[in-house]
Amino acid sequence: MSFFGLTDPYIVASYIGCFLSVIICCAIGFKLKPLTDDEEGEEND
Amino acid sequence: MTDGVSIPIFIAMLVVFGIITVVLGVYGYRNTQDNKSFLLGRNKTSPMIIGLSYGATFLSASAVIGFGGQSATHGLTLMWLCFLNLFVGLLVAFVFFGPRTRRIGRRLKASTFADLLGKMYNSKGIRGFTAILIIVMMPIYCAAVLKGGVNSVAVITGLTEYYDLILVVMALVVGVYVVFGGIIAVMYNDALQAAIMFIGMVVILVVTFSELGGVTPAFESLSTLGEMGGTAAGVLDGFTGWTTVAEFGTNEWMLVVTTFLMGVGLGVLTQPQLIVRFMSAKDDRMLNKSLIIGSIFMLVIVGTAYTCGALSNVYFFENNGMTAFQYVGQHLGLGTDFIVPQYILELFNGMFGGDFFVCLFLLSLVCASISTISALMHTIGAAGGYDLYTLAKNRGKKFIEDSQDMRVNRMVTAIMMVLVVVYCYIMPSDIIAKATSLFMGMTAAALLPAFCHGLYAKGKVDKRAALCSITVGTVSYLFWALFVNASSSVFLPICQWLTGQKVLLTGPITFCDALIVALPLSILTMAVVWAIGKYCLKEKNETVA
Repeated sequence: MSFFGLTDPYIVASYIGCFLSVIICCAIGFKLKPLTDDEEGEEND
Repeated sequence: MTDGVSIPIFIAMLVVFGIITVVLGVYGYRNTQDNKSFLLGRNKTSPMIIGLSYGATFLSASAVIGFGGQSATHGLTLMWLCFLNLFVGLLVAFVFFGPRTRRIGRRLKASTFADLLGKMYNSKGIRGFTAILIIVMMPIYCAAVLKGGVNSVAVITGLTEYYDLILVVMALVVGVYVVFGGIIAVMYNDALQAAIMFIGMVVILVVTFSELGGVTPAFESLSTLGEMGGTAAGVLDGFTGWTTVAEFGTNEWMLVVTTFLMGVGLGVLTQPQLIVRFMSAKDDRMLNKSLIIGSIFMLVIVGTAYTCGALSNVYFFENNGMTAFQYVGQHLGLGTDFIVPQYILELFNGMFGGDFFVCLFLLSLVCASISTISALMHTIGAAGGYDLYTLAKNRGKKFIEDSQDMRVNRMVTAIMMVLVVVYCYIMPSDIIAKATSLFMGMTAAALLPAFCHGLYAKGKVDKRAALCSITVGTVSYLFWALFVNASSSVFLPICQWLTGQKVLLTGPITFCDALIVALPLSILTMAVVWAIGKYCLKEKNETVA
């Protein structure tokens, strides 16, 4: 099986891992939860 | 190596870049009113600035030319480092370390990493040790980055006779804006430099794949390079090709996996210059938002450097009949650190707008170097001018009053910048990747267990366990790095002086990075001493009852 010309599963996994990590990072970044009471308190320090 | 480099275009770019840098430096200077703003900024840094600054500080010229060159030599296994950079260096760091670091830092009123660790454990010793570790080890890493940037610029532009001048000017520019502008100037300049690096690397990625016939044909050519007559050079026993991972347990596997992947991949979690970025965020949402820009930036920069580094073998083989290390390292007599610059120079030679893109890449290299050096210098200056000065000032006192003297920070930063320039002249060549790995590995082995315990311990932290873990991590790392590991022993050849042998052991174990031994020992020590402490406390309580 070939992934864009790459056949070593470890190398293919490294590329997939990179893209998955970016997707998770973006998902966390875009998920805007409201501030908790603690955080609001901190900001007013 | 001067073909394709237009000095007038490069100078014009440098002038524009220099003007913007000065403007941002002045902005930082005007907004730096006290020592706290010098160390942590104004506590309202935007997510984009945090993300770009974190990425630019993290990656530097080390990732682009140092590890890009290693990828050209050792192959796409280095993409695992890209994964670790993203997963550990960004995702784990921002999700599991960032928010707690920010909150605890604010609660304890900590301004530096050493300050944070010291206050977590209420220990002058831990604060002092961390500051000394930074002030002794970080200049080596800093000098490696500075030297790498200056080497590339001097050789690619053909201005090697001006090497000293380029080195001094680059150090002076960084020194001035760090000394006067503090962390605000550092972070805004990082963001500017990150944007330039991003554009430069996107262009390189697109041109590489278009030159090699597309993504799939490019990787297929790299896979079959050995069958086509491409000879691997600069590798160790166990290398099986540029698109396959080396045989497990061989010298090649040990070097690539334990030194390049684990050393840098894990070491990032205890990088003092990166931890300060968490402490400068206003709230957790800012940290989460900065993950978006930070992850995309990091994937583009590191992914491009490692992918194009490895693919340069195909390009050099098709155009010169030799693989990357054979051509650049052996034929041209340049080191691994020059593979990526030489590749860019030849790739854009004769291409429409090639001069501009080569200059843009050069500017990206300058930016990559400066962004890291500025952050490192700021951290070194703070370790000496804030942490050590505070400890010296409060000697013999039970309660510590943190220094508020910004002038001492500035003075120490300036002095250490001079020392870093001196280091550049006495360090061996081709050590960017190894020096990076050495510094990151050392900090992780010594401080990671103590830092994790400080962040996540429920109830009272165990100071004795932290001190034992730091001691064992440091001693075991230094012993392995200086007496067993063949790559790191070149930095300080004590073993050669004492025994007449380069290292004490032989075989693949000499390519195993010190972190692989020292970090588990450090973690084990922390766990054992902590468990003994808990057991003793329980016994004592039962006796009293």
